[in-house]
Amino acid sequence: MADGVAAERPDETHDTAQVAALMARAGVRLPAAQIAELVSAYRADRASFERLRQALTPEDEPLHTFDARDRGQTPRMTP
Amino acid sequence: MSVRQPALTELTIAELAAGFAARELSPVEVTDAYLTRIEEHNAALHAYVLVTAERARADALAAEAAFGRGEVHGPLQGVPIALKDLYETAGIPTTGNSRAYLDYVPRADGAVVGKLAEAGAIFLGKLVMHELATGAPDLDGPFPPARNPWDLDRMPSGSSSGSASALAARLCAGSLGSDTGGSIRGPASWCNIVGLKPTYGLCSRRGVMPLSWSLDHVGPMARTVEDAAMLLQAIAGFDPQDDGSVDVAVPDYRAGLADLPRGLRVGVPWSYLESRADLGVEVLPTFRTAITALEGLGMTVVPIELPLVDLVEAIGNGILVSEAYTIHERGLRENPDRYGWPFASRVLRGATMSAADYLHATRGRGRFCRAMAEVMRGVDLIATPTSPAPAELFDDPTGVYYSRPSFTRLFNVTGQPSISVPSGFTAHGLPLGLMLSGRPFADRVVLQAAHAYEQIDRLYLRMPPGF
Repeated sequence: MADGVAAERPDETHDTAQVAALMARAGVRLPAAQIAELVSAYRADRASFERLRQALTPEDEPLHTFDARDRGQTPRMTP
Repeated sequence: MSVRQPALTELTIAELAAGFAARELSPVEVTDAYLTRIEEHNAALHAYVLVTAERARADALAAEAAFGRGEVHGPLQGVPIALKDLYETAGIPTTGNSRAYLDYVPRADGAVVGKLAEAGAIFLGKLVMHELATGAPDLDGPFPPARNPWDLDRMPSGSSSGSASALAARLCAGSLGSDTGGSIRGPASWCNIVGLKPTYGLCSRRGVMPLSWSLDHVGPMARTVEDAAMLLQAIAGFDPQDDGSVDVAVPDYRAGLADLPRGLRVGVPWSYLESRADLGVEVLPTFRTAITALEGLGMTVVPIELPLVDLVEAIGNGILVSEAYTIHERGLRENPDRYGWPFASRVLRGATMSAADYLHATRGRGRFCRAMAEVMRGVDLIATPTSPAPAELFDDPTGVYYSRPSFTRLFNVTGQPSISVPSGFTAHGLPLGLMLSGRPFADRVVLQAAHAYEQIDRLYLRMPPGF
């Protein structure tokens, strides 16, 4: 079980590199200490967006829903 | 035995307006009384970033002369108010408490500032806030954070921190705040004043520094619900230059304020509230007392379930941070040193979010709004505590500020009208607030219910010790 928990732990190095890359892409220069502060917020945001994404359904798009799994079929339109 | 007369600065806006109209009070004397109090107490409270004393005295003289001629140009004529420093004011610096805007002097008044001026209000100055309306108190910001008059070691909440601090300490008669996730109601709760976030679209945001265009609201902060109604009356109305503005009839909010509609149904999310382990120990007992009081007023209290409540932080935060980053992207890239870290660390989260994240949040918002509309089919109001805890200490402000999920944010996401009214005090004398939220554009019902509740104990009469 301990191994399983360890395997699920976020990759600190990966997340730090990811945040640093996103800041660089945005053209924002930050010292390493500030990047490190953003990493915990980044993780929390990723987790909450993932929960949100899982909770959403095609019906949450009120005007126009299209299920990409139905490739080749006519998109389903709802008023 | 003589009865102590209330000081001029203790009078409500309604009392001032009546006194001016009857020629029993002088706008000049009242303005001078406020300016004197500001001189006495602002050094301890840091509520004002700028006091426009000369202009205020000139405007008070003009108001007094107008009353002398029998002219009343508006319902707030002669009433001294102050503005959160994100309202653009012609010829007067508007900084947002940010080094990025320290030199910004607007050429025109914001829409609602113009409306207040038309109503006759006198502007005492500009009030401190969290930088650009988000983040946390920044001890290294251009202006020091406002202090809570009920305990100077504690925060007044934010981002409309100076507005709440000044009102509680009687350094202005009324104020305007802004509310993107609770920035009017939170400070109102922590400072024993009234704060109203009107329905989204009711009051123009033109000429107000934006944070998140789909969540930003402007609204009144005052000592009483009646005063809030008077301020709302002055600032409500359609503005085609604000994309979020809605062209609806504006009712008379003050007339009939005391006529509480019969049979109001108040929904309380008991199971959600009772499941929250992070509530301050005195928050729920005080709230239960408030609910009993609402029942005593003839309201029917019914249990409700808040839909998707576990997702609202993700929805609201995702939208707020994405939109705020979009607004401040260029400044953060080109002049990062002009922004404080409490602000930047929050808004830069937007740079880590994707278009898909934002769209998922907006889709979630749609579902949440539809679910809340269904809840509101069964009730007129939803009641919750305003804040999960009383005012917090300044120690490590960035650490605590967003540590607790918010009740206020729910109604920024839906746009529903929502008011905080004083509901009691902790054993240590810290204020607590009751939040009542209504159906879209039923701001009048929200005000009526809050007014009826407020009249039971009239907690607004309590002054912070030492002030």
